[in-house]
Amino acid sequence: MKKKKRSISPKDVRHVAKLALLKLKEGEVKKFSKQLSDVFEYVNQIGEIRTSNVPETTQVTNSTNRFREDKIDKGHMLLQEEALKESKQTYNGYFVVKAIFGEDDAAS
Amino acid sequence: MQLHELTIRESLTLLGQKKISSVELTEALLNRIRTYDKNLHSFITIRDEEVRKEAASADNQRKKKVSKPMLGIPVALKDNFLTKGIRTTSASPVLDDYVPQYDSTYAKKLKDAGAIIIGKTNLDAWGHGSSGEHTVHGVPHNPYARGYVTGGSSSGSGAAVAARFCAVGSGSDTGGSNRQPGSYCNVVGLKPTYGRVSRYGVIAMASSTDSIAHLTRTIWDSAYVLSIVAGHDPLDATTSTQKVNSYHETLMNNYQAKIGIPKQYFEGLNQGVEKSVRKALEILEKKGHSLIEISLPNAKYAYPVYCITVSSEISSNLARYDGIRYGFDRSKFQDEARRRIMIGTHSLSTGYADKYYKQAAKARTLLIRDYQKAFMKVDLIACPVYPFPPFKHQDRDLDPLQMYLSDVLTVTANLTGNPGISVPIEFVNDLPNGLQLIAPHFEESRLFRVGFDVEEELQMYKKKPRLIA
Amino acid sequence: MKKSKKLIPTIGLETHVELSTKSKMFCGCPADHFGVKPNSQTCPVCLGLPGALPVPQKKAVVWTIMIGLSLNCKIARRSKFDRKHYFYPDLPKGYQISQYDEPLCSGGYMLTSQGRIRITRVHLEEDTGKLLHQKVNGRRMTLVDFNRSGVPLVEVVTEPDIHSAAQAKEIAQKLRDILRHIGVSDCDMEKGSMRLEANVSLTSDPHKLAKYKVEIKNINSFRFLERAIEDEIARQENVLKKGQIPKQETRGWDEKQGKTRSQRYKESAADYRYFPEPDIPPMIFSKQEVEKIRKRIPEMPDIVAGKLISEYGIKKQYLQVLMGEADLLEYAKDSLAEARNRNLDPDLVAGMIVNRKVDIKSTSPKELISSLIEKSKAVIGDETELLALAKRAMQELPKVVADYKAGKTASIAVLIGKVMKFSGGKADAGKVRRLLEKALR
Repeated sequence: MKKKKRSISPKDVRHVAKLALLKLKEGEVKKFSKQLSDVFEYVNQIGEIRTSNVPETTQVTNSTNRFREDKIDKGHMLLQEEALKESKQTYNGYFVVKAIFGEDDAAS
Repeated sequence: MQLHELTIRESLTLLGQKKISSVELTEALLNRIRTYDKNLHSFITIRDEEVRKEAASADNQRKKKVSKPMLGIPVALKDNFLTKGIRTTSASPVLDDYVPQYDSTYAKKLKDAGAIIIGKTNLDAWGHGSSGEHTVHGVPHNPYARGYVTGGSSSGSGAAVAARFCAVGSGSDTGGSNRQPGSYCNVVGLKPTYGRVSRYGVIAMASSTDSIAHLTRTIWDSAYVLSIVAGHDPLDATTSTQKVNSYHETLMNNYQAKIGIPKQYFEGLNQGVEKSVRKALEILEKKGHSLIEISLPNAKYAYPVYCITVSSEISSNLARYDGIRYGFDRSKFQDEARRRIMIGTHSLSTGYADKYYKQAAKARTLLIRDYQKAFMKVDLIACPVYPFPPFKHQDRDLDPLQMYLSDVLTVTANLTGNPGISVPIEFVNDLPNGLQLIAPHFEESRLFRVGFDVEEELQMYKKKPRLIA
Repeated sequence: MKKSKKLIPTIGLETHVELSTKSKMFCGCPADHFGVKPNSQTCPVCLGLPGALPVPQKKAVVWTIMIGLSLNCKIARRSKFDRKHYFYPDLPKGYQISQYDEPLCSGGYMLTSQGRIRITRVHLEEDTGKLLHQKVNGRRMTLVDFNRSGVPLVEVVTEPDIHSAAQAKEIAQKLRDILRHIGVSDCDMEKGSMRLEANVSLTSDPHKLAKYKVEIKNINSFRFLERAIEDEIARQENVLKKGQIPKQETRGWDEKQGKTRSQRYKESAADYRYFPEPDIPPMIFSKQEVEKIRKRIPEMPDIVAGKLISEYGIKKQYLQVLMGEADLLEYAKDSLAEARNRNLDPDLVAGMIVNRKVDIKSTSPKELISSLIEKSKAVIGDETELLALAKRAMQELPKVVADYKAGKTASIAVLIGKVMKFSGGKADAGKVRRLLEKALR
């Protein structure tokens, strides 16, 4: 029996999961490959829309130049305790993460 | 009179006349919630002692003649609205123990207006869903039909308002998520114009389509709440400086609307849904409005465009959940969230961004033009909310794509930013149904005015659900 | 015999500059994070809490445009922010708000002693938090501080038009001088408010893009910039001589070892998945607004100093000192104007300033001129006293007297000068001349 070629292959799923920092179990990769393929096969129809000379719309505010002044806003600042309080691991006022390899990463 | 039946308008009147107290009102609601919500799952967090204290304080303020527009009125907030010191989970295991360090502008505005936050309502986690089934806090039951969905993602707020646990529940509408529970729960589901209500402090799903919304049992209540929560917020650069009207004061104005009926929105509908909607349209004609056939040529592309655009923004907005500063790590994301993150990531990735993200952004312009052209001919657009009536839990769950297609009638207004509303109309086989109205930007007054005509005639708010203790 | 083509270094410089605004780019937290307790200057926005939204500050945008104008760039009519996605613990939102295809400024240039260097772009973004690697109880930990997260950062990118390490150093220093002069950043490499990265390749044809490029990071001073590039050029020459192509990679400058080292870095080109920032409406600038901003840019120091020199006829040698220090230049401007008003010799005043004979911090320009005039007013006019001094001068300079009597009337100036010296400059020169003329008859 010929296996249906998925538009989003397991390899694609693994790549995308990596980009999105999602760890998938092996069994899940197949499942998502099918589900994502179904979705993309459906959305592929937008390729038929004639859009040359149509500008992109990426927001619908119809406004421009929304700025704030260069002022310090103490009212919205968090105290150190507040900033840290929801973290699962802190140390001496810092957030703690799994050690990143290499002192090189301390650069910039 | 039953305290839990009171609308906001009625509550304010009776509180003002000192015929009831906020403490009494709050107690009545809390008791009702305790009795019935374990079977409905509309709340994730219920406040108890604090709420009684706040109610007492509200009564005190009223004695001292303090005047605030929502003084002593209990409200429920969807659990993707940040509330300082009150657990906020977005119905996801990732934020299961998160207690925010700040208030959303929406919560702050209601608190400043004197409202009491009675609890945080259930939702499809992160806003991802139109049935209410994607939650780890128990799938909400439709108060009118046990075993049936409430619609989502503002599922808990829809159920809570319908069940008379509170007179208003906040929601968010990214692709229909507030209009849909309105339709399925026989309540008014408003989606304001994008930028009308501040998004600051509401967990972002899709930044360019999220509209901060609410559910109420009546049009007046919906209009009243909007006049309180709407307005420019210096903390949200996408909010509008457009003046906020007293929307509840124009419900009795003389108004005759030209209502557009898009033929594309009436294809493939469930018969019962179509019948109920057409009946409501006849009522509007009798009230003096006119129905005009219009065409939205790009309607069939709305859902694919929505899917790509919103998934892309979702994948970006969920990138901050790495477990370092709050919550748990990304391994706690459930399937629906992971699916959408991956769809979005793929749509934005090198080699695919032109074909998907950019093409969708261009098509979005065409959808906007369709609505703009329509609104040159008509004052409002009318159609159903869902193509089918409420379904049983898990009935449509197995196929994600099928599930997504339930949004086809609502997503365009999110892509264009237009305001919309779901107004309760005749049930379909004993199941709730809604009429959807869509207006030009910042013309929410028209939605309320015309919705009011339907409400006045059908009085669906009088139909009470039968709850099981 | 095969003639080996000469290898020419093609170097591009990427500079990140922290703007010295009061507040952060997208929120009202203080931007100055030097020496502050960790995570004590954050808010929902710069900490990336759920639901928080960015609101850009205008000054940082205006300053970025000023930088672009100072570098002869074209300013975009329409610009916007974009999201740049990657995961790293110091990036709280999982994306950095930056600029992608519509930067504020582009297509500029800088003049150097070895020709023109093109500036590709100048854009605005937000800084990340800081990572700290520590050993706690023997275990390696990485700690994160978000005080720096959200500070406005301007990125200046040059085309690979630089052809030597010395030229790169010159560009970096000139850029620092310009930015300091405009007043938008203190450009302190030690504090990290100016960060340099260089892209280095060797090619036999400078008009064609090299087949590879190596990115050099972790450069903490201009001296190290020069050395790192020199070292890297030498290293690449060796690789190419062997007939190989240097690996496209990122290398860090290792001070201790005095050479660049390969960084165990994120593999393969990152996919940043840029898309327009939906939380921030786009920015539009009219020609008039840009001109208004241009007028705010203080003239470059070398121009101002040059103008002073020609306007007041002061010594050309004073140029270097005057243009080198902003405070001195400002002081000189005011003092020379005042000197002219009060009929005092501007060159005298300029000389005093340049030779640091004035404490410019405690003496105002007006005070300086006034005191100089006072000193010159203390003139000895008493003819008896002057005559005595004149006679003393004539006694000390018999040859000059003889010259004068022989017909060299101009030599009287020497005698006048001597009298001036005796009197500490206080003698009334006019009177001295008449007295001498009389005495010499």
